[in-house]
Amino acid sequence: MTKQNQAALSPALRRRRLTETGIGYLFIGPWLICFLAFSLVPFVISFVLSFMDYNMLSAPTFVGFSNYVKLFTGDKLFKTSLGVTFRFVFIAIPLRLAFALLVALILNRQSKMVPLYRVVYYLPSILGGSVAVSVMWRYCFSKTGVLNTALQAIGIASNISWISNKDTALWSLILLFIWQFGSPMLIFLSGLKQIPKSYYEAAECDGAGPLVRFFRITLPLLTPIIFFNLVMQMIGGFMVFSQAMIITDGGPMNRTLVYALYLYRQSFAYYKMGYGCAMAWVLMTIIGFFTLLVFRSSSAWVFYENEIK
Amino acid sequence: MKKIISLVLCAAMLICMVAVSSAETALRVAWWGGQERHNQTIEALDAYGAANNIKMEYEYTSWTSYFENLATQAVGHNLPDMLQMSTTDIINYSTNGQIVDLKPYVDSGIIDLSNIEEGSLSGGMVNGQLAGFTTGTNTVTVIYNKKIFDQAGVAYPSNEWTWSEYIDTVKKIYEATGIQSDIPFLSEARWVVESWVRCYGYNFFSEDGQSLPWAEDEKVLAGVAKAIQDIADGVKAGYFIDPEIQIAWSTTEENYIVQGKSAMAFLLSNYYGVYCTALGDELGMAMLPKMDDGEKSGMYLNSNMYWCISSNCAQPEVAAAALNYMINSTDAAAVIKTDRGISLSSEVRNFLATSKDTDAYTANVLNYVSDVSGVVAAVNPADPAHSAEPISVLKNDYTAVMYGEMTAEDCVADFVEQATALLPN
Repeated sequence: MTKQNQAALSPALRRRRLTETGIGYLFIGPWLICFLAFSLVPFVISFVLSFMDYNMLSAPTFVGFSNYVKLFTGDKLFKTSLGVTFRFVFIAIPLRLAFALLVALILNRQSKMVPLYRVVYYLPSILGGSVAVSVMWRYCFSKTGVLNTALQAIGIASNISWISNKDTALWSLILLFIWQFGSPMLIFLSGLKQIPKSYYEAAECDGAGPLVRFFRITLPLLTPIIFFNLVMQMIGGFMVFSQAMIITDGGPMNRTLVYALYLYRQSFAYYKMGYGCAMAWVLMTIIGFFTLLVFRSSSAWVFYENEIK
Repeated sequence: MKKIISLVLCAAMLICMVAVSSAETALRVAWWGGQERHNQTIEALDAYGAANNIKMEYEYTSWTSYFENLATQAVGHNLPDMLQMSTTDIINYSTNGQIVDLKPYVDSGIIDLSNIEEGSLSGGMVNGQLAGFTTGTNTVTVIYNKKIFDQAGVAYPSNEWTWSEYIDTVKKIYEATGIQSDIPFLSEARWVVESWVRCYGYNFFSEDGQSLPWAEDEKVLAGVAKAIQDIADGVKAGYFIDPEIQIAWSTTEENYIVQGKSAMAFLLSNYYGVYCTALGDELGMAMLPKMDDGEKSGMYLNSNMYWCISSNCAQPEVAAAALNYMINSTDAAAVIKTDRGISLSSEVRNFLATSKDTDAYTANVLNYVSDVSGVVAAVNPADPAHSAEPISVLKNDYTAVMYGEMTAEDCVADFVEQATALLPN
């Protein structure tokens, strides 16, 4: 509406428009309040606290950049935890997306059972970072757990405690992360349904096999969805915390000390909340950097149908 | 009409809410522990609340989340009135003014010291203030399965045994029966390293809490490294339990010693009763072995934990009276027994020692701790501020040696280096 048009509105119409706007704000009011109180305000406070020495039991004292300096120069576990987190992200995310896509492809067919399977495969994701699932996972992967019992039943002598063996501990966490692929799977499924069947029919007429159809039709048309899933999962992957804390608590000799867990430990166990806030902002910068990388690269590999001129 | 009804209902609801939060004496008590401790503590405090017409509100959790909860409550000036406090955090809470000095309540008689030696309160003193009241003393012990020893034909450990004798015992039992022993204090290496350091006459932390007094003494460093190496060699040879297995134990039942699969384990003495009950049999208790070239026993007494009163408590006298009940009352002691350590009150100790209801396990712990008191000079002070991180480093490095990832010398050197960097304020 241009300004002239708005001025030409009758007062009654303008009032109604304002009321509509007001009602709109009322509806998003709860979300807005929660966002301000639990996201925006803590966001700003944590930035301020990252320049302070704050042990939570007394008022914070200003220390300038020393938290950041200590983080980059004096902290051995900072590099360790970053390394663990990078390993986790660059292994678990591609695997999770691959599984999600695979299952979405399988479920993308007309069948009465599909809605049921959709629910079944989505169920693990709802349990998400839940404590109960992590505790159960811990028992499953322990020396006397279900995994070992199952492997022994089919003849593989498996006696390792998967969660306390230094080589496999991180993999038990990665496996849990991959198991909860429901969310990207549903998004892939909806993306698959948007691909017009006519493309596939045309390809079949031209004699294209299933693999060719996948790589030439499905994958290119799915790239916007892959892009979205990649960004969202990456952000979540960098922040993985509760699974690492409950299943391995940083793992045998810090093999599973993910960044968020180390941050939590510094803030609460060592009473260095200011230091933890500095760590949080460093994490945000890292996530932002990788997200930017993905965005910048997207023009090279993401294909939007509506961009065809 | 509808508007009037809804207004009336709202008003009624508000009145009800106000009525509920009327001025009844209420006391919020917080502690950490396992389910057994929760049950016992609630039983004891319920009885007190009923007898004194106080509404008790309980906030209890497991150890792992207790201090995070407390810290967030501290930020909101909303700490519970009476709280259980550990040796590692008491100095922090006291120097930051979150818990109050208990001396005024001692002086005014609310907290009764007539059966308690004033010297035994030293563990809770911070900068001249009585920041926390020690709930009881505890110490470290080696628990051993007598039946396995009999089976192997090995003599029970004596309280004066040396480190070499300990290693020999482990080996002999393994060779005779194939049963391993627990790695000493894999879950918290500090407890065993402290006993080694004390054999040479040093305290673990310096008096001002800014350094390790033994960091420069080559003899001590070598002795500690050798002891760690002995255990690591034992892991490789197989007579100590695989650290991968031991590190995964989290509940009492998962420990091999209560399943009869381990000959010896190092333990904090206040858990003795729970372990015996889980095993279903009486375990032996011995003092920790002395270093071969040490000058004395490495045993030490700790304040197990403290009861403190928060600075935002509105009615500290009520809290102090409840605190006094938990410390001095034989009724409370009959329920809680030695779960929070051996009481400082001689009356309670005598009561537990002579009461018909006291089981053999409690009696064993009482006798053991009094034996240790005969050997040790004084109760340890609380851990210095900033000590949590170095202790965590020691635990990690010790575990790394057991996994074969680090040499014992590097472990000791790294711990000393990091402690020296992290301890000073």
